[in-house]
Amino acid sequence: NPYAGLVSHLRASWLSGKTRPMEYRVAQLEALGRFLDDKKQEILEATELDMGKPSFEAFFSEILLCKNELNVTLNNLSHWMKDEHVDKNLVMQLDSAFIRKDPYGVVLIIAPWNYPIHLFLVPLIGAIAAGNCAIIKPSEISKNTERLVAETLCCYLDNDCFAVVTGGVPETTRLLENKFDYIFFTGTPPVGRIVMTAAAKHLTPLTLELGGKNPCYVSDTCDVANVARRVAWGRFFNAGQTCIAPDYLLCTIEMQEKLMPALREAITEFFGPNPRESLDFGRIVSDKQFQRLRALLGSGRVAIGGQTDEAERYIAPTVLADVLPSDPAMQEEIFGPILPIAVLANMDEAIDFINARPRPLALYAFSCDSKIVNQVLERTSSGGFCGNDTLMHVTLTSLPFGGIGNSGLGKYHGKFTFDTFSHHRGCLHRNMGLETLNTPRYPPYTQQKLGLLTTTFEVKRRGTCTLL
Amino acid sequence: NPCAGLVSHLRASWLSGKTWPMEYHVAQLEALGHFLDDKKQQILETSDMLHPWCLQASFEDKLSEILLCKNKFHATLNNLSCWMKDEKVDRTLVRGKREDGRHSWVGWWCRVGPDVAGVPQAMQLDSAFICKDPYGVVLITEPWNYLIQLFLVPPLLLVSPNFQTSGLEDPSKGAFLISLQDCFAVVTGGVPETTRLLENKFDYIFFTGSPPVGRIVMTAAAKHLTPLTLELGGKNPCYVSDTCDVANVARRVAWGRFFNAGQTCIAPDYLLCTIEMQEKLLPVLRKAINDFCGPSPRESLDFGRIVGDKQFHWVQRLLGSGRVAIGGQTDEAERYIAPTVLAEVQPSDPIMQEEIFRPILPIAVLANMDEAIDFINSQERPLAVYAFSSDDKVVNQVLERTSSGGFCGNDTLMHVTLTSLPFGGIGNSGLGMHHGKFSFDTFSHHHGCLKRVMGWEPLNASRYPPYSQQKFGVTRATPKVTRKNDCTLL
Repeated sequence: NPYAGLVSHLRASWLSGKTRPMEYRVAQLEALGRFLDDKKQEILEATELDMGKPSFEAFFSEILLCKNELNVTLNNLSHWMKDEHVDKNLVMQLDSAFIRKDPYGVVLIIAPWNYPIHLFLVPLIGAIAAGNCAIIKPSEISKNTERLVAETLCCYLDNDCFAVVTGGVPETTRLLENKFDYIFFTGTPPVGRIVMTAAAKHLTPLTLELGGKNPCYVSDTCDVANVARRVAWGRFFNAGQTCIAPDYLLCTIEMQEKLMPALREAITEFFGPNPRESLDFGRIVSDKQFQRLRALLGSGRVAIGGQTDEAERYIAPTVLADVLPSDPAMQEEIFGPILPIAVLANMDEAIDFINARPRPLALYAFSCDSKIVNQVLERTSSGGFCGNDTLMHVTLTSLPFGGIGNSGLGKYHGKFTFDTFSHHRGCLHRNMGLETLNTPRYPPYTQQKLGLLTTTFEVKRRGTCTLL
Repeated sequence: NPCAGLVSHLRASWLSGKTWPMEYHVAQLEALGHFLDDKKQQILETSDMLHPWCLQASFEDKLSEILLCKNKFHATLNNLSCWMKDEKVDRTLVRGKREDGRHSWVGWWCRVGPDVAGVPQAMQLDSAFICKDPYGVVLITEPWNYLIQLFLVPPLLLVSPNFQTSGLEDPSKGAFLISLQDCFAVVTGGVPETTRLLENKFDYIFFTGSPPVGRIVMTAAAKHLTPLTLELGGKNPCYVSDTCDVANVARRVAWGRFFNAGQTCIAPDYLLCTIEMQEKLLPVLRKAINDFCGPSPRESLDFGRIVGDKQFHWVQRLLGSGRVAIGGQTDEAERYIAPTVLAEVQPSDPIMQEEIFRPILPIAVLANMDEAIDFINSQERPLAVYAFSSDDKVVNQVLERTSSGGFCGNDTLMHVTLTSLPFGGIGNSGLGMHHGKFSFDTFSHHHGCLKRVMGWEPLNASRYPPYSQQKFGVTRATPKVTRKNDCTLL
């Protein structure tokens, strides 16, 4: 077990209590901030090499959003770390009852390739804030970013408590044989199952941020031009390689006909008449992903785009019309710049269609009529929801971000990350004296004692008492 | 797959939206309350079946099974509408320092003109909230030691249909069927039935039981990516410092250890103290046991029995650990084990290798608190850690330097009676938590929701390509959630 030594070293550091004081955590978090500042240019270059990520997009997702999370955490850490005092019953009025936020210990963070800095750094912020040690496993597919992280992060963080491990599937499999105290995994559902099965051997709690096909329902009453822009932006950001991107559109045939020119116009507005020449449109991360995506272009009919270039791993911003549920594009998460439109008769059919499928990470609904947006929200189930836009709900650090069912379990962002990585320990500190308060509970048991206990312990149903 | 039809029926009910209105939840909860009231006598009698020689069950069961359950009902019904409400959240109002050095409030999607001192942030027009959604069809697996409470408590706070199986060891408890409706069902059976049940896809699994079975349940859950809560067990250490009121400690520890004849997942499993404290504790433990159960506990109506022959088995081997200082008598026919205290137990003794779950309290002697803390930290993390001291600093040290599901200073068991404290394990003792609002939160999916306006498109313009230096500059200048104390303006 090649990683056993590393894991025990980190565990020993954790047991020494080094990560507990707030000052230590703040220092590590500030170091992460300096990493983002100092290495900004290298991050932008590495992500461009990995998947042609435009600098603007890379800055926004890999630097800006991360710094937001860092600052929210630094601004609130002392408050989050405090013991939370709770309501007590009659018998415990003189006692101290509170929830203590304890770290788990040594956590493992496994990150994917599509937002390679963000998707390890944001969980890491919460892990550090909660007082844990961590092993970070960046994706080998975004190899330039992986190298950058492996070579430079150690210069910023305490190497007794944090480490980066690189490698592919075999290395990750060996790593998962070790006992971790928490595992945070972002990736696909099949690998999520493997990770959870490995976690089960050690009863390790975990968060799985997975994926799925995020439906996007567009009602007949909407501002078509705005919808087209917002959907196109969400779909083609990072060349479609976003777990919360709108995966497919559901609308009536009339709306499809209206949307098509509006989508065409939005794409032209964003990327010009030839997106291949636009500096603002990314590329597919690998040959394997490229081949997979090219095969999906046979679904429905290509209404916009459809051009590809294998050498560049370029796939044009593409819209497929009249796609059928049985088509290849509807069988798997697309994760590329292809937007299928499936035509249905009305909202009820759309909701039934959505509910017949695994629960997605995000669900989108567009309508000028807020009742429709609410209907879709109430009658479906998903990780998160956004009405009249795409992607934006995950930029609010005050909203929990996570999946449900096939799209994952657990949640994070903002305080939710801190809570994810801390164990909420219920604590009661009683008085050593005042023994008479305890005597009704001791044997020998009598009716009188039971009556007394009932009176002192009972939580009454509100509205049942005549006295206030 | 014998249960497949039942699971799909329940799932169809859930999809129909039947369980979603609050009135439905309240009606089901009230029905569970009626169940407790109507069936109280039968519940107590069935518990008596486990303790055929005494009425200990009645008091302890009235306390744990009825009173504490009803508390949780009332706490839930009192708060349900508040828990179910959408929680509105802060919409980020970000402020940043612009490149000209002036501060302005800007949305980071917002184009800002140079003269603007304050601009309504795009998100201020939106609605952002957390919606509490049900998971769907949940499975609750109940162990045998606190029959009713351990299965009723989680579904008290269910906002989704539940589907449960009775304890593996004692199918007779399954005789209490909640009236079968479209949304709730009870399935009885042992290990083979539960294995088949776990092949189905559930949307949440709540399991209470032992760590080995917990691993099996989690592995089954992994196949369907089902989230779960595991309430497991372990050896709960109880540290007694040299400065304490010995008589009070003895009573509180004895009560916690011998309640339900020791068959409590949070019972103090073993004591850690100095040799001097052991010598002081033994006579007062003897007195406490005598006060509680009389000179012959076997004849006391207030002391229970062991649930089954399998659990009774091994007891002689365990009693061979250390030396029997108090009790030690057993009767196989009655499945009786006397309230027993073992002195000078070694870490290598059989009784220190597994969760005891019987009315036996071993005392392991150590030199001081640091040794006790090191010993605790070298073992698997338990469901509860107990520390007794008149010196608060000692209690706090133990709390800070150990890790456990829950903690109680200067008493045993009592922390779980507060519905405002989360109850759950860590590491080998489990994952997830429940009780009170924590149960509601456990069984609901916190759905992050943002509803934006259809119009106001210019506010979005700066995020769209083509990306320009100017847009880039705006973004760089704006959006940081700044570090407090960075800004000179408030």
